[in-house]
Amino acid sequence: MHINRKTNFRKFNIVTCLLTTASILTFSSCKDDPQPTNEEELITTLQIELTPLVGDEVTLEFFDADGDGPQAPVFTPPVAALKSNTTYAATITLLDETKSPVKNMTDEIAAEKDDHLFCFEVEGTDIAIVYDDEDGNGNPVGISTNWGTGDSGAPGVLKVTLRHQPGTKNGNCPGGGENDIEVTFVVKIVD
Amino acid sequence: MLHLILRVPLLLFLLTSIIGASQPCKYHITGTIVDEKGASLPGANVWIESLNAGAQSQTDGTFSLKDLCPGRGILRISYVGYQTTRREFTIPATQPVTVILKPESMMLHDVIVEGEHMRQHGASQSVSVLSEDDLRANQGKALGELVQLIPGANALMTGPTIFKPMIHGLHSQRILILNNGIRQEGQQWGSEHAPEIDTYTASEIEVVKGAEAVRYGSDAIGGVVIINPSSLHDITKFGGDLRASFTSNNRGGGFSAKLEGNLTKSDFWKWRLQGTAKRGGDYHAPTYNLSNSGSSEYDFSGAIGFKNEKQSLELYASSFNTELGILRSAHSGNLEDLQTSIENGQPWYIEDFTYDINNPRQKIGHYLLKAKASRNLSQASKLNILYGGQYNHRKEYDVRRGGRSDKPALELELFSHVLDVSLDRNAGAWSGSVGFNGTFRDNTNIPGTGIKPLIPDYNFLSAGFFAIEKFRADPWMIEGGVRFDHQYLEVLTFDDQKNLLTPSFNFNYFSGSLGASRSLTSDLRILSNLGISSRPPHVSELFSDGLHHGTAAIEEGLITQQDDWYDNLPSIKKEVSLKWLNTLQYTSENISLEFSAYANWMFNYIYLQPTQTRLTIRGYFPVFEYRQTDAFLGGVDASVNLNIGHSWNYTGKLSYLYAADLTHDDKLPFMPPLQVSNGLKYTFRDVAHLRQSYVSLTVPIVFKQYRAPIVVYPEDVPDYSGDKNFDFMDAPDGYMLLNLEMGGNITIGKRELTLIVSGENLLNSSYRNYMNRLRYYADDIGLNVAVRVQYTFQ
Repeated sequence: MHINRKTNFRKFNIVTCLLTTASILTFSSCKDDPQPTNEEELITTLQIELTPLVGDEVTLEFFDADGDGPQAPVFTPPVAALKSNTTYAATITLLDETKSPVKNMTDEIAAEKDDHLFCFEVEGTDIAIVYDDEDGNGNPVGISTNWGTGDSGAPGVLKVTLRHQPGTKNGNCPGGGENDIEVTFVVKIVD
Repeated sequence: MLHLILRVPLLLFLLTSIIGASQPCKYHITGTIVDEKGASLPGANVWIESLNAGAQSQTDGTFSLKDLCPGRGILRISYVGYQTTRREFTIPATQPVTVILKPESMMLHDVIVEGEHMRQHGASQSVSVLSEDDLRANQGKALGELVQLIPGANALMTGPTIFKPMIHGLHSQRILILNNGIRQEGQQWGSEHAPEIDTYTASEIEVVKGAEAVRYGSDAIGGVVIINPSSLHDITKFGGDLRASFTSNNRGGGFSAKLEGNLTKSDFWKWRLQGTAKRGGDYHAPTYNLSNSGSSEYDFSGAIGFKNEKQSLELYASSFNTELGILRSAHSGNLEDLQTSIENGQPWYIEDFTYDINNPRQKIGHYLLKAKASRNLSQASKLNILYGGQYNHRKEYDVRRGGRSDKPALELELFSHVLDVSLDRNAGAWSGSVGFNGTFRDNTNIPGTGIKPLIPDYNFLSAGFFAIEKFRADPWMIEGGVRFDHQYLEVLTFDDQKNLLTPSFNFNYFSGSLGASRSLTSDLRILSNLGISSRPPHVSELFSDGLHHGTAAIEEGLITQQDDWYDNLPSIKKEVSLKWLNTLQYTSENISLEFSAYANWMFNYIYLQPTQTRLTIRGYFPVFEYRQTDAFLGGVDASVNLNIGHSWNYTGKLSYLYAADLTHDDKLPFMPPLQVSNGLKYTFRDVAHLRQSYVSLTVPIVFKQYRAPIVVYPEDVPDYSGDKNFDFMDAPDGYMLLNLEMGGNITIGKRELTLIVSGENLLNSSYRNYMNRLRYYADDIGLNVAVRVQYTFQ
């Protein structure tokens, strides 16, 4: 096989057009160069901002620069440390950082809150999560939640999923629909 | 030798040149071969017994034997499916001979039809035919669903509406679909992209099981599915038919109407108009609705043709429009969703029956304009020119956020032009064809989907030259062919920084085939065909890049899987197939039997292999990469048809395929399992106008695929570190279905009414088909009662 890269494109295009025009039917257009796709639904970043009544804020971040591409995502911090026996107000922010300016994707979820539900699963550590928002039907959404931590201990995991449930949402996790987001953070409760 | 020939009253008419003697005889005899209804029979063998030489009837059923000396002789006319007829003749002949062939008491399905459509495939190929009767009993079904009736042919399914034809384990860009003589140019690469064919236009469907790359190029590496309407030139007077089918399972209906006739008072110009409308709602499995599996289809076609003794011209235009719902539950978000679906054992989304088609869905338009001309250059040679312009518009809609569900997630426009020129020569024992095939494709992603396209834009140009020659000397027939192709592919894609890249590829390759058939007795024949063919990778195999919902997998092409490929294009090898196909065929008055055995070595065979797991914001996904490997596909097909007494008829079919990845000593995914089918038919005696009424019971048995890849459940995929091909769940158990059918014709004059009532899956059994890509989510369909009516008039 012989490969030549970036060669004769213009020439070929002209030949193509001539060929096409000459053919019985001029179905084909002599097309312009394609434009790169604007990936509208890409979410690169999931942030959970945890604000206690007293004490330091904690932010959990998942960042994947290339979406479905081969670059591995980054967790910041690798292990999140929460204060024991504390109540945090948690807010989820979704971003598309490939766009300039950075696009806030949370708005899209909030605008379709009747179809979306964040689910939280905690394993190996003591965090109780309660919803602090609701959609138009009185079901939770999960953009705002309250987290209550227990005693300190070994690290555990917290799985956040965003369920997309158009027409089938009833407030239960996982319910129908499919996962639009599924991120598992490593969380540790410290004194 | 010469002396001997001169003593024979008749002289060889076309072998003269071989013998080398100049013959003084210049008489000829012409005639037409027709069936009882007056339809012409192309490709019938016309033999002069005393000379051991002959010819085949042309597409219009006419034949001509030249350079004959005065005298008397016997013509033997034979044609598969018809009784061989002998006719005495005298030279000089005063007028053309008309020979009416009577059908054999039993129609021979699934047998090799030598001579018929000899331009469309090799005579040593294993070819199975779905006759007009078969199509009538199954009208309204999709092409892929129909070809499943043939041993060795299967369908790769995506739910109950999407069927892709499969031959001996190969599908998509390896199977050529020849629709009314034109190579179908759609988005064949996708495993959930069904061919855009209105099956109501077909009067016959043929499946050629060996490679036909010499005749058609690399797209026919795995075989050809040929959809033939009845010949335009056979139209004798105004007439047509009306057809309707009703199916209970999806509360669906299909309607088709055809009108045809002479355009002028002379017999030269003919026309035909045909239209189809199909609509169906959700299918249902025995215990639940398959929500969002509705479909609609609207097709139209028109043809006009001219023919005289010297030349013919045909113009054909068709429009195909369909919308297909895809099982809502099969749109899985990630591996976790897939795991849940498998554990639940039934779809998570089950709603009441509806005709509505919601997302995910496909909307496809396919438009064709064809022009075909042929001219007899001499008595023995014919020039054919065929042009086809096609426009394919595919839109796929997904379940999306932010009000984007009305925007297609994938929108592709494919313009294509095909030009076929061939020169056919038919000189008695020797016949052959030389020709050129040109293909141009221009594929464009329509901007505005908001999703990175699965395959990039591309321009494609290919040119192929072929020569095929056939020699016939009873009991032998030997044929061979060679072909050279050049292919140019230019891809328009983007790197990570969204810079336009336009890599281009040139491929040169040869194909060849060699075949022979020999009649061992008048009933028994053996055929053998050896084909070597090459296929450069398709754009999708090179540049696929993205997430495939439904299988929750990221798919990457041979090129896109390489890091920074745009700095250093990897070398890509052509796929090469070496296929040897042998067929034994026995046909007597009450038994017809066919047995085929094949071995296909596929070098650099391209398929999707699971290679790694990737963490994204949507969770874990397995990454399937197109890889090249050496594979082997071998198997047997068998069919038998027995007449038991006057009324009973038994049909048995079997197909078995063994497939292996030789390089990795592994099993290959989505290969059809062993299948057996038994059918018994009782035909009633004709009563007054009621004819050919029958009742039949067919029991297809599909075994479990024991050579399926190992199972790695979706939840275990992130931890899987082996290098074997895997599947997400066990191959489904085998199953047996019960299908009952009854029907008959009422014939009054030239009007005929056919009524057929059938019940498929009579026991309403729950089962899953290994060849259905949605088997992770739902059962196949339950009981389906169908009523089919056809009214033909003249």
